[in-house]
Amino acid sequence: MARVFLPAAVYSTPGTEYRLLPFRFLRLNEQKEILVNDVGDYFIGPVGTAETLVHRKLSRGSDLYSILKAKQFLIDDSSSPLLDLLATKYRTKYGFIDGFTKLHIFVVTLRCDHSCHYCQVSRQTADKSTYDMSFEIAERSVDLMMQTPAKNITLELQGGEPLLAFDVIRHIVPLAKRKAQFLEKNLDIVVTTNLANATDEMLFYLRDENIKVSTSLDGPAVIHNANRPRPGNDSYELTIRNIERARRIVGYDRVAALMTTTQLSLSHPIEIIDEYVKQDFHSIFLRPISPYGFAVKTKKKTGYGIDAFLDFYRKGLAHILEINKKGYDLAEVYAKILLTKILTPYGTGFVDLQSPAGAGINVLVYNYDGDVYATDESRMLAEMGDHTFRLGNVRKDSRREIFTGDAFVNLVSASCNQSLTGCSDCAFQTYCGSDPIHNHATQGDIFGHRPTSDFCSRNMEVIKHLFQFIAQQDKEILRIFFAWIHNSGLKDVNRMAPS
Amino acid sequence: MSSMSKGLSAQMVSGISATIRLDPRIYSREAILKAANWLTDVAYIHCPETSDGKFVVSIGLKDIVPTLGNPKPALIDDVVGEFCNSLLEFELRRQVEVETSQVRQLIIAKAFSESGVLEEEPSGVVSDPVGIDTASLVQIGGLAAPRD
Repeated sequence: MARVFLPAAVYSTPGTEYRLLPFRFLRLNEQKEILVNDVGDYFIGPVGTAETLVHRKLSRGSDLYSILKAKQFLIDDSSSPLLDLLATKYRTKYGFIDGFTKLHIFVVTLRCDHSCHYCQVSRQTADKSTYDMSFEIAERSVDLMMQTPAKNITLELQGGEPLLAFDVIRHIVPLAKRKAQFLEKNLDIVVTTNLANATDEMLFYLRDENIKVSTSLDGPAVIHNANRPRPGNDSYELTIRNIERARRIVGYDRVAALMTTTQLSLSHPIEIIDEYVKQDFHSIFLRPISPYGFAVKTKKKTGYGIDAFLDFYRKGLAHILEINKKGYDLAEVYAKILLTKILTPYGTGFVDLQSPAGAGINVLVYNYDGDVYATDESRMLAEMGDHTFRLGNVRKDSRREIFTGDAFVNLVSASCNQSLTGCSDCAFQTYCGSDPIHNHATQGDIFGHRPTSDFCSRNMEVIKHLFQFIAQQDKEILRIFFAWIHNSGLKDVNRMAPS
Repeated sequence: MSSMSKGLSAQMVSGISATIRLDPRIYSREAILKAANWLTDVAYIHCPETSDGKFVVSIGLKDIVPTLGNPKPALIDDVVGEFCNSLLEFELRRQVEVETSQVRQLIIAKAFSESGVLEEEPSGVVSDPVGIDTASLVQIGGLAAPRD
């Protein structure tokens, strides 16, 4: 069916001044500034573009006028379908809120056989079985998990070292699966483990129950062993052997690796990335170390300034792009999350970079002792004596009491970067997020102080760095970015440069 | 040392502090405070009362002497310059906010409303080059089919 258009004059209202649609802007450097609207559409232009737009100096017939109108920075008629489109885009961007809590982290034990000095969990030696989750708490936790409205949920089994409490895992998994089936929810299960204690029997169980494995690989032996001491100092060798076993038994594509950045790591981005290529991994997450748990107490070993991390990140990203250009698919996850927000209409499911913050809303942590926390980091603060973000306990609190209690309500009051000082005017607001728990741990209050916030400077600098690539319009790099966004290999990506 | 521009005068004091007097008819309180907020990593900011109706911002550098933790402390000239530039930018942002806050609320309300459907049909005439009279089609389960 063809649509016959009425003459153009019917649609235009000559002589009417244009109206602004909501947007923010930021000077990128001496020459360029970026304008970003409420749904993440951006325009990079010369310094003064925003001023030209706001002070009505744009001429209607100009290219700039057409571009800004197409990208919804201005509107020049009263037709509400354009606003409906913006509303639809807005809803798409915030789609991650729908269904509420999707990621449920079960800390099945606090016991661990490693002594990593950046560890986000308190270590207890393997013979203290009072630090395992009891069956009763496990059952109550599964009950609470299943009350979430979300249809698609992920159960992440964590610790300590969760395989040390394998009996608890064997109790939780069938129970969770039965309840999910009854409630017609889709349940994904992943176990975060160092694999040091993984017997063949355990790996077969993980395979049979369709459980994915997430393990730690900090880099080549020198770095991995220095970061993750254990008796015998053979963490790297053990990890590599066990990755191979897990791939063989559980499934090659069902084993993922995450790295943790420490002071030592910062000097060796190339070596770490090359190790991931050597072990045939196709994604790596260059993330900063969190200021929690043992990391705070051992600040000398793990503490570093933001400049050092940014230098590490830029070098690492450049090396990863070169690796991709040579034909090996390797995605950088931090970039992928940001690029998804910048280059597509979608938001992100990554809880540390959402607004409203993912804490409680998208992720919930069920501790071995029944306490419920907003994030894994807030559980770590509790291990250090700060219970600010303990939302309740599965033994005595209902779901309603947990989500209407003071702890959660206070947390949520600082969760939206739209209303935080500094963030409310920031051009990168839609791409960034908020982390009240990080603010509390590093700056002493949940709202945070943007000028001195490392969360702010880190995200701003990484986003600016990615925009440098986007602004260059290098087709090869953009194809690599889209391959990352779409979780596909480079050869499968047809999408070319964004407009 | 002092500098003057329309509605703004800055007085530097011994290289470590500055007092900026702003005309509230030109610069809004909101823009001034937002611009000043971004200096609070390198300076202490005071906004003392005045008797002449001007808005006064007093900037005192936190670090003057280079240290290991801060080897290149900010210079007062640069801080004042940045403040003045960002003042203009925050005025612009305030103008955008004033003009767009209502439509923004409308967009968000529409985005999270229960109905979620377009409220206006797009304008135009629908025709079919093959010549089927669209009025003769009947809707069956959402699909158009010819009437028998």
